[in-house]
Amino acid sequence: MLKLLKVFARGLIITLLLPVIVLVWVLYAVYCVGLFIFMFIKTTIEYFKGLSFNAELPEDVEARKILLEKEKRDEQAKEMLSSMYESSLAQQQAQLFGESSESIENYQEKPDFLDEITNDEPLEEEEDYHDDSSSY
Amino acid sequence: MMTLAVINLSDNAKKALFILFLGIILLFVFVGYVSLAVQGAMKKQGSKADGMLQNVVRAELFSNEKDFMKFARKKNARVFYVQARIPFLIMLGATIAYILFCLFSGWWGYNPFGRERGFASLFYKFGEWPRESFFGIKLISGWPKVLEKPQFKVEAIFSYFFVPALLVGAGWFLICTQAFISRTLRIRKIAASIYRKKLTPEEPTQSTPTEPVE
Repeated sequence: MLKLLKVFARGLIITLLLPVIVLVWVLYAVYCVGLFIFMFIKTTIEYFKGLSFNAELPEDVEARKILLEKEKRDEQAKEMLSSMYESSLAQQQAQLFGESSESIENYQEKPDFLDEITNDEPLEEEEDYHDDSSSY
Repeated sequence: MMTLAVINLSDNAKKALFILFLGIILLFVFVGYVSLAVQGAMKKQGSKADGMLQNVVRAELFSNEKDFMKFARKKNARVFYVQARIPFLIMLGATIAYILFCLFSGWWGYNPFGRERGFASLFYKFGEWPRESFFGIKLISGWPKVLEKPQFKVEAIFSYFFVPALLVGAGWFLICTQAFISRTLRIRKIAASIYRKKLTPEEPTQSTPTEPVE
């Protein structure tokens, strides 16, 4: 009900202000006709000068260039950061194991203690807990 | 001594007054909803300004409001020109066709909106509205008489193409003008939000969640 009252009040105000709104709109329309004619003459002159009309302005092109450069810089910074991170990680690992980073990679690829584990006797089979025959 | 005037209304008068009152309320409510719809449409049209100024703002190309507004106005005019080309061409085409029609037919005083050889021949022609006095005010009390029925006239065939084309073109152009106004308003808002610094902190809106007090 309150919402409907608000809409009613709005309608009342709009109705009272309608002549002003219409006047502003018509004035803008007249201005726009003038603007259109001006733009038409301008673009026609540009066309005969050999320039093609585009909604883009030189500032737009400049802005796009700046943004592209920014993007490139960001990517480069990202790459640098990731390479720095990787190298620091390798250094940390080397410090931790007291070996060079290459040997650590080899060590990680084929660790000896894994072979020892796999060569051990097979694990015992797990008991089947769902076996009904087992006595309690 | 004050005298009170007692107005005795008949049942019909009461009904008429109630209908009149209800009609006025409904009219204002309708106007209110139409204005809400127009506001929504204008917001949507204005949001195009965000798209057209996005790169320039992100690249931080302008350091002051004046340069930004100058660029935004230029850009807005270009977008308007691109949008208004088709309706303008429709209206221009219709006007050229009208001049050529007058030239070939020799009807230099031809009114394409008229009833004789114009677009109005497709509509009903009514007589005067019957009125009756209601508390000193003359109100419409019935339907008017039909004087002429709509009829298709061969000599008015040009106006059947000319008038709709002109109306479509003009309506479309007015919508483009409305979009131009919406973008202008939006540009002002964007410029104010970017370049005008406020010393007072902004009040939190209702949608932002409030943090619990410890």
